[in-house]
Amino acid sequence: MMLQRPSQAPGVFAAVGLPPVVWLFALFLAPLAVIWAYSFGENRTLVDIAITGSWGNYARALKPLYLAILLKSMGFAALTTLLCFILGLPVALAITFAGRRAKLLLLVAIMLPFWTNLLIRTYALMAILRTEGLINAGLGALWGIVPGLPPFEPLPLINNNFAVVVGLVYVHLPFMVLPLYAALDRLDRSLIEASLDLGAGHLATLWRVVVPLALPGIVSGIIITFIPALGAYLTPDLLGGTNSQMIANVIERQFRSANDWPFGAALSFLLMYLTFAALLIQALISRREGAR
Amino acid sequence: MKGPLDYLARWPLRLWLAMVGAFLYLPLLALVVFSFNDSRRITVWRGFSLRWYAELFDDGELVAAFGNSLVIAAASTIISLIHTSASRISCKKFVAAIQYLLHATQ
Repeated sequence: MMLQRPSQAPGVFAAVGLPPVVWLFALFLAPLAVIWAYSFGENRTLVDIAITGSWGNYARALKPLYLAILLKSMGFAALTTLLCFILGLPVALAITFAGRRAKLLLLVAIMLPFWTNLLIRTYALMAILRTEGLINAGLGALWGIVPGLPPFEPLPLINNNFAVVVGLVYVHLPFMVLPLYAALDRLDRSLIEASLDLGAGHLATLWRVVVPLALPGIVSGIIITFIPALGAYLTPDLLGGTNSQMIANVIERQFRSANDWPFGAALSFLLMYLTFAALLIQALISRREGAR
Repeated sequence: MKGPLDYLARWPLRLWLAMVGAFLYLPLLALVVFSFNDSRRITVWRGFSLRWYAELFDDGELVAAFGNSLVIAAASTIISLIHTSASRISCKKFVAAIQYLLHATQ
């Protein structure tokens, strides 16, 4: 097949290339730029925002109240990522070394909840975790069998930090398993076999051979899990209590009930800068790995 | 024969997979099972019934909303298909980077 250069058929390339570029600018970059400009503005009236170029919104966003929520969100996201990694690494290993049929089946099994609506999955978790939910009902029934116990106190499983982390892990597990599987699948199996042959146990092999070799994939799994977990809105909104708000809930409140778009914009962009920082770290690590 | 890399054949890993599977699927399964429950409550089983499904199809607004969802999903699939194929032809690398960023920040 002959490849055409853009200079040979400028009309075709313009016709094909222009719509995506226009789309990207008009519907993604331009609205983002407007919000970015808002983050340097202040409310004049209820609907009028003046772009004053002040850093006041960012200064307010870095006050201890909001900084604490931002740090807490990062803590939640980090804990979620860690739990997803611990839960997901054995799953990714199993998928990698499974036979063809089992591999397909396991991959679909990991993806299937991912294709279920997020809202439905969150309500399903609520049905399980509620004070009168399935876990507490089951425990209460067991409690009732044993005679002479005090009345059953339902476990506080919902509207707290625990529920938020459970919900985040539930939602983000596929984000971790799929990149891990992709990294492990590319691994040279003879290296693992050599390590096992030369007397290392399975855990030592995992820790000293598999993990270092799969490090770029592990890093991208961590980043791809951490970023959406950091910006999670629905999970803390539905499963969390008043004390387990994450940064996205605070941002939503600025845009809606507080009607303070400039401050909401500043908070959003702080979150975005953190995201870019995470992506930069990933790029640096993968470049260093590539240079070795 | 069990090779050294047949991790799927080892019981600790099977147990782990079963645990993760239960974690992922029990909440959804509970929701499905209790959609056939003859009661408003989700913890007490009062017998099999299709009454919630009957109510679902009786509710004209719900059916209309489902239709809207189908139309919107089909339309956005077609539009994004056109856009991504056009982008892929014109600038493969640039689009890959943008898609990666969009995917990572969604």
